[in-house]
Amino acid sequence: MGSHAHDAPPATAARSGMSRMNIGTLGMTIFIGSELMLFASFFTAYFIARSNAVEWPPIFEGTESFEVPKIITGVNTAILVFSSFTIWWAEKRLAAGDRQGLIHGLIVTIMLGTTFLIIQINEYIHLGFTPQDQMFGTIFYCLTGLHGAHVFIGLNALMYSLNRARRGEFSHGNSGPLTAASIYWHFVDVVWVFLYVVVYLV
Amino acid sequence: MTVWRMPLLVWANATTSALVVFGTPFVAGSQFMTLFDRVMGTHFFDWTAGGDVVSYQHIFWFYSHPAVYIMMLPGFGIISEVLATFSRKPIFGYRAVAFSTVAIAVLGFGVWAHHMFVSGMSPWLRIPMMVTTVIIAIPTGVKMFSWLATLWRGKLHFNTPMVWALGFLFTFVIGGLSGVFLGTLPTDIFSSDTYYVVAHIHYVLFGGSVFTIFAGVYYWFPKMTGRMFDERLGKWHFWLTFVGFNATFLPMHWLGLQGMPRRVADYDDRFATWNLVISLASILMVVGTVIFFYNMIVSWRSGPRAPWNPWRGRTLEWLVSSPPSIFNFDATPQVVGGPYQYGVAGARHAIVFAPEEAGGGELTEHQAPAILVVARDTITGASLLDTVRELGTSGHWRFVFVSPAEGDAERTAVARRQQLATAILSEQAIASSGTVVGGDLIQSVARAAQDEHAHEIIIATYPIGESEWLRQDLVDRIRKATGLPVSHVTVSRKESRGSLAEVGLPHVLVLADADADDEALLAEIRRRADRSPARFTVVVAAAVPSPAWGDEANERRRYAVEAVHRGVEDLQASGVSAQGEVMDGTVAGSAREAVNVYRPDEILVATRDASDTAAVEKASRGAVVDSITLGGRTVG
Repeated sequence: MGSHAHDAPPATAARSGMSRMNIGTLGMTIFIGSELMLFASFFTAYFIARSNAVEWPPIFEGTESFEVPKIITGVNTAILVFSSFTIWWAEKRLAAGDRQGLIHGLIVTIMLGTTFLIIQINEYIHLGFTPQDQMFGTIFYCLTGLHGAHVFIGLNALMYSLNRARRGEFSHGNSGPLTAASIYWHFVDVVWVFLYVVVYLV
Repeated sequence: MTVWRMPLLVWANATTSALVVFGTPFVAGSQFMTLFDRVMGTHFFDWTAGGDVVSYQHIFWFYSHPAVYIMMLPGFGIISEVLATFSRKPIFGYRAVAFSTVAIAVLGFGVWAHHMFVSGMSPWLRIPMMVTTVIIAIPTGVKMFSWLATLWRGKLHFNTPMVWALGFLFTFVIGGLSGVFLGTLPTDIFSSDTYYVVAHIHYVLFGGSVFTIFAGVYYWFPKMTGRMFDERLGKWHFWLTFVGFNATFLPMHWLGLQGMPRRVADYDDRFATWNLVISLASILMVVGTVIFFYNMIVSWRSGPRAPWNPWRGRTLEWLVSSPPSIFNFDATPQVVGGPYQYGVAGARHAIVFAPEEAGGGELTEHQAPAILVVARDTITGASLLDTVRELGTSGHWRFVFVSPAEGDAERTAVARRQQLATAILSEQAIASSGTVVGGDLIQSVARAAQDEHAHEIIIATYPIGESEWLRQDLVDRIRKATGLPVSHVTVSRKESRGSLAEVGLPHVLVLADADADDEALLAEIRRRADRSPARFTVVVAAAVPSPAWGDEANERRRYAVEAVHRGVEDLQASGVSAQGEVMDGTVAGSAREAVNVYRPDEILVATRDASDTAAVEKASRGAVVDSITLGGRTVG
């Protein structure tokens, strides 16, 4: 109805909560639901293989072993979890009207995320097995690789947000893309915690 | 629009979208794994390296069972639309049908392994999957019974979309029942990988999904193309497909149970006869499909122009032109009620607004598109008024009655009928007006269509055989002369002349002691009718000589009744809605009973003796009492 607000019938007010949600945030939430199912399909393959196995990790047929670095990856997990807090802090700064704080928070988050990715790649280089080494190698690389790809996409979203934040395009209540990127980052983080516990620890 | 005002097709499509969003990643996962195994040498499905072949089936079917609901749920939505529209009834259990759609989608994620009962999967999973599978029959049953209850005592119109929808109900029940057999573990192990499964999938996917697609294509064809399809060819398409379908796939149940395997090119000789029958029957479907494409192509190119709302549907798409203009609506319409309130007086689904440049606000009477109603004696016929009322409450229209008349008497009569109709329609906030035309009717209609920028035309006539207009082929000639969509309503002679019992039309009780064909009395009634539209009940108080059972009394009564017949006939012919009755006794004496029976809004006392008026007033129950004195001959 645009500018003719007086003509708008009273029923317009009775909108459902769904339609008042930012469309980008809603889209990201649905997308994350879809992403969860993709991870779930690979975890399904993982759990089926693991429940079939007599021993987990299985005995390696080559010279090396199926050992995964629990401690270093634990530290890496802490880095990723910490990056979730920094982006939360960045959004808090924006809500307080501190745009510089937002930019700083985003930069720190991106640096933490990049660190996580570098450590993970370094881990790949030094592991003694490849994706072709039995089901264990296959599913290990597929799960961590799928997650790594998501971290990479998340970093891109954050850098896009940083770019727009620099240009001063976000303000409190007007930060749809930032909110979407932040939700996505939290999702990537939560998936990793689950993955770390299931694949590395248990 | 709120969720509980959404059409069920929208519910179905929203639910289907959720299935696509949350289900498809699983099949994507299974394809990634296959790709990695083939290209990168990974070991997802290689059991020698710790992989699991059956895990492919698990991941594949976790998507692919919900995928069958992706194919079916939109069809369920189409059926809900079509059945409600062609039964002229609100859909039975709207919320239950909406919830059952969501329930099917949610439960659909918990039944995947019923495709794998004989695949060598973990045996403990079989019973839970059998139970969840059979549970899905419940929301599906809710839908089926809601549809049947929608049909129950509805006014069924067997147009092509409707026969497809009914055909769907028939075949889908069969497909659903064989589904319960296949979902049940012991019978499934017996019939796995036989033609029984082939029969089942075709009954749910062809008899189910494809039938609903045909129903939907026919239902929205006028809206999509702006042309009407050939109804006769549509029926041919349906019956050839329906018979051909059942003759093709029903025998497969028996073949399957007798042991004919699927996915095997060669089969045992004892199955040959039925296979020949099946092959021949499938030709019927081919012929049907050819007819379908012929009908679609030819109708799209040169079918008669489609009106905005050929099926008198009530959802938003019927409020726009056929085919819809760019952007559909000038301003976002406001949905104010449920989508299926067929036959509910005064119910509205949506309000359409004028564009902002024109100041916004609800479209005014002047801006609303016009529909011409061509009728003469049939103007106040219930069938016509119902049609106009349904169009008027479902869309934003104004109606212009165009009635031919020659000579003053006929002109007055026709004008009175138009006034009556306008008064009745205005009671439901439907804008209408009337114009009486002379000379060549077709030319007059064409001129009126141009003047009023009419979008379509409704022509009301008596039934075939009684109608002079149909003998002159007026419907087709007006269609040709105006190039507008024309629909035809039949009104029986009885209903066009009957007394109107309409909400909001004042009921005037005329109490007279004169005979009902008394000229002064009739003139008085006509005068009252011209003041404001009303319907009349003439009660004649006949002073019957005693004894009341005597021949003389009967003679007197018979004469009075005949006079009432003549009077009412006379009034009807002059466009006044009237009925009549004869009562024994005086006016004052008849008043109480007549008021009790007829509950009038007004009473007109027409007597020689003014003293009766006081007595009537006492018995009037709040009705306005007016009196006149008749000078003419009186009863007695």
